[in-house]
Amino acid sequence: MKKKYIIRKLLTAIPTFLIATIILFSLLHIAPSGPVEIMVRSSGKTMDPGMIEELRSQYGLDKPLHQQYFRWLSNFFTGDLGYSYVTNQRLNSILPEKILLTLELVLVANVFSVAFAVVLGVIAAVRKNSFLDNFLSSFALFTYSMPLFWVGLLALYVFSLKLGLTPVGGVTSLGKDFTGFAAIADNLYHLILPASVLSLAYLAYYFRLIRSSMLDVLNKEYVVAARAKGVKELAVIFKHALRNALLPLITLFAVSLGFVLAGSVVIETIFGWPGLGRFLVTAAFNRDYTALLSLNAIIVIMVLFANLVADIACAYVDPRIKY
Amino acid sequence: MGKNKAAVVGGSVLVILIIAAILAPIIAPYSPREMSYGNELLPPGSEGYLLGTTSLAQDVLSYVVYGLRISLYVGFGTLLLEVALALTVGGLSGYFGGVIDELLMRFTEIVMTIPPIILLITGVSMFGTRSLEIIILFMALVNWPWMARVVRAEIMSRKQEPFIEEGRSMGFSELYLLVRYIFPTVLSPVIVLGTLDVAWFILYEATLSFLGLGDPTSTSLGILVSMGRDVLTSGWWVSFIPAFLIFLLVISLNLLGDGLRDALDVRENV
Repeated sequence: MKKKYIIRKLLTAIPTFLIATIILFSLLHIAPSGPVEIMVRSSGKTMDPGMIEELRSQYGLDKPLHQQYFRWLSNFFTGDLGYSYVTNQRLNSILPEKILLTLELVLVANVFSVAFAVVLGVIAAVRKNSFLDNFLSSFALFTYSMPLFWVGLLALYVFSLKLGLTPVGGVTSLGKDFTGFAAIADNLYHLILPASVLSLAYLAYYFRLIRSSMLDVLNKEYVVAARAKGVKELAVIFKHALRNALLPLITLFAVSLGFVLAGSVVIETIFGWPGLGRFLVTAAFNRDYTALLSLNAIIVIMVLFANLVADIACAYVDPRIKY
Repeated sequence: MGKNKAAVVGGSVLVILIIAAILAPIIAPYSPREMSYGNELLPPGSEGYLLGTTSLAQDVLSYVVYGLRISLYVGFGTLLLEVALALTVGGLSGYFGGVIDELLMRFTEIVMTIPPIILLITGVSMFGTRSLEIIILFMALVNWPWMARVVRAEIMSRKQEPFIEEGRSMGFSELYLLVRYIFPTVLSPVIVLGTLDVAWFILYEATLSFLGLGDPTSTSLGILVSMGRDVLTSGWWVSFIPAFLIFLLVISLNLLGDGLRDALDVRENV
């Protein structure tokens, strides 16, 4: 039964992917000037209209839009992500490394923020309206309202520029050839500040979610009943309440992927972390068509995958879900 | 601090900021981007430059009060467009149900699979001249689905209430019932969600401008923060003052939104 449920979820993801990429494709083509014009302009040279036409046909840009879309789509699924008009590189050769770098940053930040958010969220909900809850909630609201680029700049200013504790950016120390364990240590040394800033932002966001979900559950009758029959308070909180409070959050974590990526766009730019986010900004700045389309398509797939994992996880954890 | 008190504080700060933005021409001693050579990077408190100057010798105070105007314009402008879109889609979907609902909600879900900031960056970047209006348009286009879903749910639950049935049997027209009885109940969640969304829009626009993808001709606070990024050690105030104002705008809107949620008794929608 579960297999059927998973297959059905997988099948609904296909039209979603197609329509989402068609929306993106159309979006990229409503622009007043095409990629060739942009290429010409960014090279700073002038080109006569005949040459431009020639280039257009060379890239297949003179074909009708639906043909261009299908060409992109079939290439995408055969593993050819296309060609960046601006950096003159195949996306296949540059994207995988960027994806890994973003995953490294985002996963490390998420692990820390989720762990702290669960502990603090539970404490705040259990001790609702206590001094500690008010303090934590105000702190979360504060952090949540601070523009992330500001937090990033503050951290850079204090820890890198004033105290000199952390590097000002990048992934590894330039000009030093570390190998083995030293290379990993060097990478972590560069990771620590951007990942900490990012987890602070995520922490505020997750804390608010967990606290309110936990508050919901603590008012439920089964929690009251568990207390009434004399279950120890800690058992009530962890066995009866928390497990149920985390259920809606599984889906929410998948939905939060957009928030997670948004944070990484800003942090990667400030700390010179050459991942997906920074590449997206560069591609957008240069109006790098194919790069933008393929990048967005990859992100859509990541979101759909996260949703699928969340659906499956919910189905396993919650016996009430029908297949 | 109780939620109501917090909301009052938030609301008051917001009102002060709005008044400052309206009075910008009176408050600002200079025109926002006027450069006075020789006065580069003066610290806050310098004579004639209360909040200091930038590396281009622009008065920070003059810049930020005009910057507030941009933030508020973008925030509330996007809100209007978002509400219009959300009421249309959510209203049609919730009121008619059936196939229309099915189609519109599928479409809404698909738009939601592309993370807003990614879609926003991609969409906005396609325009060579990015005006504030284009940014407003795209922010509304990427954000309406969440509000539309709330509107739909509210209308669906309302249209089945007995007093609507009664109105029908008394011969009131559908349009009258819709405008007089159904839409007002949608208002509360829209106000709460809208207030919190304005905070997001202000953050989004500042972020776009900070990344160099905003309207380069505007006096956006995000642009000033990004200018200050290059002089972080020699002129912290260039980036910190505009960033602090964005923070004030956002936190006051968040406080107000949270307070309104309690006051209007809208259920928490995480």
